[in-house]
Amino acid sequence: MAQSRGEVLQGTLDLIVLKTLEALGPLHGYGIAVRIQQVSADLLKLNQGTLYPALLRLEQRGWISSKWGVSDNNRRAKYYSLTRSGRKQLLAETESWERMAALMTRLLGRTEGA
Amino acid sequence: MFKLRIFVSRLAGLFRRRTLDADLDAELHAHLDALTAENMRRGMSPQEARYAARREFGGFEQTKELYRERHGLPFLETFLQDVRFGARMLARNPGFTAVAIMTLALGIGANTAIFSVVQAVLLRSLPFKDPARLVRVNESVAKGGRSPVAYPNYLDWRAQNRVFDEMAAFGDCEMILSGKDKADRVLCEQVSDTYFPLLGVTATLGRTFSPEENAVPMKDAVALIGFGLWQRRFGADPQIVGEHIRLNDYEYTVVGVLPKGFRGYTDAAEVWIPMMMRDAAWPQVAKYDFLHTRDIHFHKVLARLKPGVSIAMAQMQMETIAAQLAKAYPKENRERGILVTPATEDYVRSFRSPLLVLLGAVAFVLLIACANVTNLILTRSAARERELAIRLALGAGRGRLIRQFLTESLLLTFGGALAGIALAFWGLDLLVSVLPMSFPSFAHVRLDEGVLTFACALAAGTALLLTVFPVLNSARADVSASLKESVKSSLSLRGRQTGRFLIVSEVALALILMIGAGLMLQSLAHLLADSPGFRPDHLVTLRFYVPDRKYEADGRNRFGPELAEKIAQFPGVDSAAATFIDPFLWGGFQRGFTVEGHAPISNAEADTVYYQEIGPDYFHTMGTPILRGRDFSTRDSLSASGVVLVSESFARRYWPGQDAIGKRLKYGPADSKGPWMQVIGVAGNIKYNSLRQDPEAEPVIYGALLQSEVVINMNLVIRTRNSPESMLSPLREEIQRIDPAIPVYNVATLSERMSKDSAETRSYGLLLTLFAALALLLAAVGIYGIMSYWVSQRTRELGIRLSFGARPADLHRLVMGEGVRLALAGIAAGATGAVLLTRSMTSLLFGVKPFEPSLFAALAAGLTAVVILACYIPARRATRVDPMVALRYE
Repeated sequence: MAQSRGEVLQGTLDLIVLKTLEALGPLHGYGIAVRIQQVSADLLKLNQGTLYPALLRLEQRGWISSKWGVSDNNRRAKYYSLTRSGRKQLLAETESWERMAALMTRLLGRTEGA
Repeated sequence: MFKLRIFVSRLAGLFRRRTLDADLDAELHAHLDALTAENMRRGMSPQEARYAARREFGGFEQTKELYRERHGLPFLETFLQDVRFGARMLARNPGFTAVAIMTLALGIGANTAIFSVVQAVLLRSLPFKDPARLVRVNESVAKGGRSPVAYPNYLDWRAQNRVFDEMAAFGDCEMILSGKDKADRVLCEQVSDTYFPLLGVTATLGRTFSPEENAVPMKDAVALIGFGLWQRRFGADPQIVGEHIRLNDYEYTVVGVLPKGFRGYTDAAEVWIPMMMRDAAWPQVAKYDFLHTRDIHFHKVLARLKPGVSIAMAQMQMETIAAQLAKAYPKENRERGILVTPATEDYVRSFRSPLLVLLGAVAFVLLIACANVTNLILTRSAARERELAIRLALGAGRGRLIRQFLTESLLLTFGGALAGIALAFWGLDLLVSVLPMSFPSFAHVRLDEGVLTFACALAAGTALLLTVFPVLNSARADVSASLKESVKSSLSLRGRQTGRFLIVSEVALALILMIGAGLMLQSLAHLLADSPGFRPDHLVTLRFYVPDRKYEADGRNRFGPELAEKIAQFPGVDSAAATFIDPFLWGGFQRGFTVEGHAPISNAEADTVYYQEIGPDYFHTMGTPILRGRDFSTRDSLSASGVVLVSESFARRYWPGQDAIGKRLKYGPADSKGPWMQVIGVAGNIKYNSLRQDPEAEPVIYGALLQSEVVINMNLVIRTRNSPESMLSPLREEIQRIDPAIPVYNVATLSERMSKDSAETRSYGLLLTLFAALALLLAAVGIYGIMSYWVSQRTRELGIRLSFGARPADLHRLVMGEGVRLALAGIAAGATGAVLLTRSMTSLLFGVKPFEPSLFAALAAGLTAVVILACYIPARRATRVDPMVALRYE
């Protein structure tokens, strides 16, 4: 069932957004979308619209905060940045993701080896 | 806490929705613009660039909707929508709304008021330390009766048990606190030193009793006084500790003052003395060595359960101990068991069943109110059928409709609850004044948060109940049929079944309430009609102390009878006599005795009966016949040989078929050293404790005041020629004139006493009748409503019947028949329910059985008449249907 452009895994989008904000600092929605597209080299099929409810969710949890500012091309844009608790959350989620990934790798590796 | 933060943020979103929407719009447009610009940079035409951007972005409006769902509280929003809509619907039908809210207010208000009494009396805990672990320990006798405790048994229990932290013994009596200028009647508790620590009470001033003071009889004459008495009688004197007071002519040193509000376990005490001073408190029985005698059962015993020990566990261990004691003392303790009961029971026992019966009654009233409101809602929802069908057709979910119904019911019931709480608030004082019960002093009836919580829970439950039928009916709603204009929305089969069910339940509930009320009223009638054994008219009673002074020879004994003789000469007085009981307040004390040549009926039930001391002419004054023998005379004095009279029931029990005159008995057990007393007369049975008592079951020995060992205070009973009320003050004044040092109290006419005694039955009867009348009224209105609605819904059918030749009388019969059939079904159900439920009223009844077929039948007939009346108007309307109009109808 190989698909060139995978659906975004439930819950993964949060982690991706947090990581993006950590790497690049305050960014507007468009910037985040572009960045995700670049990094994933178009492997991820992302309806850019779905980004916004996700951003709202992260903000409601207090992991990111938003502020209106002016973009590079002199337009009004809403900038999102990582909060302290967002940083903690990112750390925790990264860890758990790595554990999960390691587990999956081991599991799948063994199955292939058998 | 994420949940809270999210909730707050969402709640905020609810109120900032417009700003947020505008913000989001700007943000999303900025995003699209950026995408478009990027696409154009890649060389697309502006239009192509825009389309591509849109594609990449996905559904623009969907995103907004998703976003909105996240930033508000959709549940709360629809709820608010429902509330707004519901309120509009209710406001559009002010008549419906007013009737529904009023009906519910009556039901909920009555429940709230009764519950506030239940909470104050049955649910509030006792004002002692850790009341849940406080228990009463009694001896038990054969046939499950309980008896006070013999002191040696108490000591053995205390020494041997492993289930109680501590035990305490106490007793109580009336005492006279005499002083320089006046005497006060006070209630006194004689207590073991463990009593106060057990209840968790320490003295406000001074100390409580020490173990040494609980060791040797009559050694330490010390006393504690209550806070109220300290303030009232001693002007809150801070130097009171160490002062002396006189109680029943015996001097005590005050060692402490107890805290404000503490009134002892009896909830009435103002003075406490050590258990060892009991002989001074009860001089009548002083010659019996209660410390070492196992067959004088006199004491009350309290205990505190060890943590983790249940009452059942305590009962089990104490039974073992009781069995050992029965083996060790076969003569005194044979068949004597033990009974451990929660202390709370002592306070609520007499209130529990009347209050629960009242609570049940108001619950029924509420159910009938619900039935009426349900019918109102159904009637209206039939009119709204099309609205509902349209909403269903437009895609509203059933769940959404149910929520709408529930919201409307909630609005109605909370309107009703608010009005009901207001009703309860205004009616509570009235209710408490109607309830004659002397509640424990710590029970305050009021609308507090507990009662309000109850009212809210009740309203919520009511709302649910009101939603059931509309939801069931709507589940069947036929969308397409309702939408077709030509079809007249006729009453669905299910709607009719609901109406039938409502009528049957209303009739059944009303009948149960009517039977309950009827039983109470019949009890009251019996109580008032049953002869008390004396002529209560023209009788005055008053209580007084024999002044505390030096008397010559038997002067103290003669004091009361001589005062009676003087009063008998007073104008307007026929005769007067002395007795030491206070009729219907204190019926004398229980006295053990032995009948000559008569083995005790059983060891376990020592022969103990009520003992009353009277002066000459008592029976003549009371209007009670002396059936055999003679009355006491002035010659039956201390110097003469001992004589007694007995009641008819006593003679019947101990000397059945024989002449009691000349028989002998003595006080105390068979081996007591007391002298034999000869029976000189048998008097008719008298009720002296309460109108409810069965004098046949409570025989009396009458001793002569002139031969009494102890004389402290007593009553005069006075038969007047004029109205007894008008004699109250002249008599009081006359006694003051004869001897100003005589303190007189408890002045009343006998009929007043008796009416107070029957007051409880009267007010339970009154309240139940009130609730039954309310139920009947609600049921009648409800049945009228349901039947009227049917007739109006069946106009078309009735018209068809008429045009096919039915006569108006047939239609009349059709409607009435339906009503009567349902009434009969309801009566059958109600009678069955009543048979099951009135059993719980047994303790409230007097002279009637819970199942009284004649009463059942009479009330059922009355109720049927009411139902017929309620159906009559709708039936008349049915006969007036004009077939032409009916067929053109709609």
